[in-house]
Order: sequence, then structure tokens, then C-alpha cells
Amino acid sequence: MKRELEGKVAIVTGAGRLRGIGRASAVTLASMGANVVVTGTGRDPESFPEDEKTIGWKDIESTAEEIRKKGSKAKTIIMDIANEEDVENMIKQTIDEFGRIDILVNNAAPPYGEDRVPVVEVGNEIFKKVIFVKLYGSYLCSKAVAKIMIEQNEGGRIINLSSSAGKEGNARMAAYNAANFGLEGFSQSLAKELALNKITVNCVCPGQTETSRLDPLGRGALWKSKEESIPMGRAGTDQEVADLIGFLASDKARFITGQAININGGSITSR
Amino acid sequence: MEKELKGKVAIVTGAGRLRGIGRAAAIALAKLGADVVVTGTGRDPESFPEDEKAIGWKDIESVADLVRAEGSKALPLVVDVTNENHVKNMIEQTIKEFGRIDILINNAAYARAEDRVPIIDLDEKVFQKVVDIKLTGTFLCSKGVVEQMIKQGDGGKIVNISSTAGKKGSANFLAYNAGNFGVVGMTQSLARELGEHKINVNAVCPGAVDTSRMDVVRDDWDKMAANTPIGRNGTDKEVGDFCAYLCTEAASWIHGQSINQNGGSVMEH
Repeated sequence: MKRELEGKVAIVTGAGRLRGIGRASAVTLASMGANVVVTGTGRDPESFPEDEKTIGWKDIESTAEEIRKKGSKAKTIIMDIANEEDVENMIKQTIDEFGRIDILVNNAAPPYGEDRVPVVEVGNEIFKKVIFVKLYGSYLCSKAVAKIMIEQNEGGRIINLSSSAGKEGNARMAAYNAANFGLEGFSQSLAKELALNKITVNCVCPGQTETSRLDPLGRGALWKSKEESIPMGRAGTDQEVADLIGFLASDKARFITGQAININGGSITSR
Repeated sequence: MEKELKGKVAIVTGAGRLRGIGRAAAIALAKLGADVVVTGTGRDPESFPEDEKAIGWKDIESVADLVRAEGSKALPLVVDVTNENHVKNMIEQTIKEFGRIDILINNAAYARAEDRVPIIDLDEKVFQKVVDIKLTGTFLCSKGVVEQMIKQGDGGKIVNISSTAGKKGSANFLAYNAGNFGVVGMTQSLARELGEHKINVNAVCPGAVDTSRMDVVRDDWDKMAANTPIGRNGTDKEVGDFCAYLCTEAASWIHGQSINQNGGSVMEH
């Protein structure tokens, strides 16, 4: 049986972590038949979490290997998604290698950490970086990919990773809240702009998800108390978020556009 | 490869139309392997649309045949979802036939037409009927099914069909807006209640979808399509496929959500 995304080409940004929505999405799209370009920032291996070090994880190269195991082609690109030249180069390399682009998953985000402080303490450069990567980066990638998709004239899918933080403001999250709320506004606008080109644009808004991005929270009492506040009583997995992204990327989801869909075990339901 | 919902039992209410979300959802679930109970009100064949008459459509009996054609078992039942005894009987019959219930799609709704008038022209019996089927019906069916799911102890899926009318009020939509906003509220409440039982509760909010329910607005059909960002109305299959996706294991962390599927016409959460 022909796989659902056979012949399609996807780009997933920020796909280098072993435990991460980017990797899980890239591998899920590959298992549906798509060839996948995965990007990363070229993280210093010294900074890898213990589990990545233990198994000899090699960032996006390892994600690419997982993609190939699904029978799809993979390409790795180290880049800064908020750099115009890097994005141009990413598009060029993708087209050179695969000839087309059908799916973009804007997943890259700066690591969780220094931005989670009160506004009066947050470094201006840190605030700017969160906004810059999340918003300007998603803008640059979407713009470049949309151009190609319009030329191809066969529709497409742009899926932006927002967050519960794109639905509800919280103390010590000003930069991240601003970026994610912004991304949802951007997605609504772009969805209306590209609708007649059959390019759907949606956000996925995960709640607490078991990824290495959230390792700074630990997995002790704080993590558990957060889980207990979720109606389903648990954090989500990167695979669950990836499966929703896979569904949105499929032909079945062609009537869904402009939405910011929560996947959070019920933690936020009314916005 | 074993089908994903093999061994699961689903109930889809309001599934008798040839062109309808209920039929599409029932078939999408059957394609994934579920056995399906389909309910209808026992519509008068005289009232069937021309295309149903032309092919000798037999309401839920025909949908049951389509479910069987996918290799699943089917049970068609005439049920008034607002009648407590009918709903009890539906649960009993389902258990008797299939032994369990894993999925409920609350799709039944009052036929569109006489409710789309200004408030001063809106008959209170019509208002009552629209709200009763949407809300009391969803309540009674959910109550019966949830009791069974909790007893089974291995989770479940409830998908409520709301509408863009559950997100945004429109003139001359009073009863339908009330019913569908209500469904969204019930979805949120029930999700918070049932999370610990691993019973997912979500709503799907379709925009204009090409079903016989919409035959009364065919004069405005092209205009409705043109007013939708993607330039067309939806299909029952698109909504049915989405309902079925929400009933899979992969969607277990999607909970309490009322998700728009409307080609971009409404982005209100």
C-alpha cells in the first residue's frame, strides 16, 4: 500500500534532540512516506543530556538515520533559522536534493532557561533572542517555503509549534508568551493569505511534554505536581505531538486551517 | 496488519443520512476496524432527499450495510436521544450485541430550517427541540456510555459534533448557537471530570459541510464557499475522518478541545 505522504518533502526545524518534538515529527512524517530535511543549530556535544551522550547520539545526524530506517530519504542542515542567508541556503539545498517542498514544521525554539525570570530581570538580548528565533525564524522559513509551494501549485502544509504558552500568560514567561501568542496571530494571517493556494497553516499547542527541552524542570516533585494539575494526570510524549502533526500534514486534514490546536491532556481547554 | 480499532465498539448517533457526518464517521470508524452502532430517528422515507429516494436508501439500515462492507459488525437502532428510556435501551442493546462500548460520537441534531429565524419569530417549541437534541441528547448518551466505560476501566473516546456556531454567534442562529456553545461547554466540563478514567472528550466544530442537512441553503451555497478562506465548503468525509482520528490511541493527549474544521472561516477558539 502506498504510504500517505509518499513523494512529499518535509522540512522540520529544530530536530536534533533525542527526546524532542522535532525528532519525533521528522520520524513520523518519514514513516508516512515523506523525505525529510532536518535542521539543528549544531549543538555542542558537551552540552548533550546524559541519555544522548550514553547512546552516542549525534544530533540531527542521528535523527536522519532514524528517518532512513523508515525507508525515506533524509538531509541534515546546520543553520540559524533566523538568518536570512541560512534560510535561503536551506531552501536551495532542499530543492537541489529533493526537487520540491510540501510540508514545513516550524519547531525550532531557543532552549528553555534564561528567559524564565521576571520581566524586570530578563536580559534584553535574551528576550530578543526568544522572539527572534520563534517569530522571525518561523516567518523567514514560512516565507521562503510558501514561495516554493505557490510555484509548485499543489498546495502544502505549514505547521507551527506554539504552546500552552501561546494561549495563557504566566509569570516569568513574558518572552515565551509573547513569541507564542505572536506565532498564532502570524498563523491566522498566513492561513487566510495562502488558503486559495491550498496551503494550510496551523499551530499545534502542546502542554507539558516529556522532552529534554524541559529537563531544567527536573523530574521530581515540581514535574509531578505539574502533571497532577493536568486532567489526564500525566505529561504528554513527543510522539503524541508528532502524531497530531502527522495528521495535520496528511491529505485528510485539508479542511483544517488557521487553527491553534491544543494537545495538553486538558490543561487548557477554553482558549 | 491488525486494524487500529479492531475489537472496539462505537456508537454514532444521527447516522441515517446518505450525505451526512454521522454516516461518514461510522464508515471511517469501521475502516479502522471498529464495530458500529448507528442510530437514527426513523425518518419518514417520504421526507428523504431525491438522491436517497433514487438509490433506494434505507436510512440507518443502509449505513449498517456500508459498515458491514468494511468488514465490521453493525447494529442499526431507532433512538430518540432525548428520551431516557430509548438511550437506556440503546446501551443495553449495544452491550447485548457487542459486549462493550469504547467510542461515542454525539452527532444527532435537529434538522436545520425553522430555527433560522429572528428571535421574535422563533417558536419556543423549535428552540426547545434544537437545544434538547443537542444538549439533553448529548448528556443522556454520554451519561449512559460513560457509566459503561468506567465499569470497563480501560478508557474511551467521546467526540461531540458542535459547529462553527459553537464558536461564533450569528443573527437568526439563536437556538443553534445556544446548543452548540453548550456542547463546547459540556465538552470542557466532562473532560475535566473523566481525565482520570482515561476517557477523552473532545468536540469537532465543522464549518459549512456538504450534507443533506444543508440542502435548505443551496441557494447560498456558492456564496458560503466563496466566503470561506479556502474557497470551498467541507465534505462529510473530511469531518468523519477527523472524528475517527480523535478516536485513535495516537490522539489520547488531545483532551477537552473543541477543534475547528472549517477551511479557515472561524478561528475563534
